[in-house]
Amino acid sequence: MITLELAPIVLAAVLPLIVLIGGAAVPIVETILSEYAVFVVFFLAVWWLLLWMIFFIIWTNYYLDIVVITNKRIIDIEQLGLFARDIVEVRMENIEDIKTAVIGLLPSLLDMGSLHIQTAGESREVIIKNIANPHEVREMITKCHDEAFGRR
Amino acid sequence: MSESNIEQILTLVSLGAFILSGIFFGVISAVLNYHWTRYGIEAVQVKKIKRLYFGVALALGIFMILTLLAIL
Repeated sequence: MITLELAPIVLAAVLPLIVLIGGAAVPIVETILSEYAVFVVFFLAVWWLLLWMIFFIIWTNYYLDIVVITNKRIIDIEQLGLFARDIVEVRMENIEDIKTAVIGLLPSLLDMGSLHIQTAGESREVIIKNIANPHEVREMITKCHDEAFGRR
Repeated sequence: MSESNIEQILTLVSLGAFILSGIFFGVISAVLNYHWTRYGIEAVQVKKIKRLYFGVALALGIFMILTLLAIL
């Protein structure tokens, strides 16, 4: 899913080059471009630097979304932009049911989905969205749960 | 509008864009660096990412400075 979020950035980086190359074929545009070439190059560099930063903001947002599974608890850390971080902790003994949902063609092909953890706690359901291999993660949690508390 | 006027305006805009992008880059990089250092889980990967981010940004920065010097 990170690929889909980053695709517009890559497109925005390549598009000016395509426009410039295409524009160079038109005589009037070619004259203007050659006259202000140094400005065009400068603003292209500014644009790319801006996109480079946005690219890494999006990537960091993805990279810092972490799910930690231990035999005692599950910790879901979700980075919400640069200045917000959401941390949910579920103790193994509070887990009642786990459900995975892979909806749509692309998530099915990429094996991406969400994990729904029913708990006995105050907030009844914890949803971990857009994780890779959700079925594998569910099996892992079930295994940890069974090892800690035995099969029910 | 004459050609020299357009060039003057473009020069001013370039200078402004350079200063603004420099400030923006400084702030964003500081925040990103803080996040990677504070919350990153794989030290080796974080180091590589930092090198890539700052390396490319430095190259673009040098490129910007050179073109800005050519403009001025």
